[in-house]
Amino acid sequence: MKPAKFIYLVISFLLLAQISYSQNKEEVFEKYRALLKSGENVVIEQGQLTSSGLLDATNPQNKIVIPLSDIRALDRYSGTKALEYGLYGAGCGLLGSLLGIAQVQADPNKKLKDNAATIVIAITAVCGVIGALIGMGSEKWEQVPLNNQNSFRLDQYQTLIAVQIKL
Amino acid sequence: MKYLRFCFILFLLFIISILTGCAAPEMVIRQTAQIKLNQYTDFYFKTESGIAEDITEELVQLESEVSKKVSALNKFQHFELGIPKETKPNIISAKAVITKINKVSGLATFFIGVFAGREQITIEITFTDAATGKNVCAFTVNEGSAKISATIDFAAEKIAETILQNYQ
Repeated sequence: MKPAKFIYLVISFLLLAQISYSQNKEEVFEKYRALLKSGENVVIEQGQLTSSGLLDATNPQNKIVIPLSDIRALDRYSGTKALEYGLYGAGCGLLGSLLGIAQVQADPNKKLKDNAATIVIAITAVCGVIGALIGMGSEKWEQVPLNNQNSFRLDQYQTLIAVQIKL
Repeated sequence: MKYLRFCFILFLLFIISILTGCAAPEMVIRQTAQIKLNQYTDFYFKTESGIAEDITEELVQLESEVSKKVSALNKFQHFELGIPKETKPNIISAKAVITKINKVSGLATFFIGVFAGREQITIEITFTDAATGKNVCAFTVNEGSAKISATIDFAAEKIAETILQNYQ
């Protein structure tokens, strides 16, 4: 397959996937936290942002819509920092164990053992797991711009990008 | 010898990362005081959240610190937390809004150090004349030091300093 055709296929797939996601996102519930104009903080486990407001569908029998005009600030849950902290932890573990090896190599009275590589991998993995466990406790929240705030949305520019690359 | 050099470079990087992570809080004046504050006898202070995260603890701490520091000044006949119920000309109110916060757990800082990120808080403080509703002065306290609580203390100190400087 020629590279141009391959790129064309990848772009087509991404565009179709994005359109498909846009059509299905009506049914997706996400976790939100909001500061109401009354000063109250609310956390919505299963929420959906619509043009009229924030739908709280945590209790299916009693769905509540909080009007956007009543919301002062809104955040959407975007996962934990497990991966990020896990990588940092693994990095620190790798660096520490490599330093240990460097120290042994620098000392003429000591000899590096054969299982040094295994120890390095083990320390890196353990530190990575510790980092990931700590990261699981740190939540990531993405600020949702409300009506009075400017925002950049990919789908608004999708058509323009598609025209620009001259499919 | 190579090992010593390597360790020295690592030590330098460690010191630099600590120093950059401990930036002192700063105050940015948005509006300088145009009038003297000695014409006011009553002072009201209110805190408000501007973010979706629950920051009740920080708001309470700020109220408590400001109460302590402003009461210690002994410049006003009456000091109260909240908003003024009347619009008399001798009343001045101050509102502190926390517009940004980034909390970092001590555990994360202990294990992954600077990679855990820096604690940050931004507090916008505005003094308003209760009778006219006009802003008397305004400033922002931002950027974190080692702890959010230190920046809150700093903000309370700056509120007290602003009162003192513009009172005479």
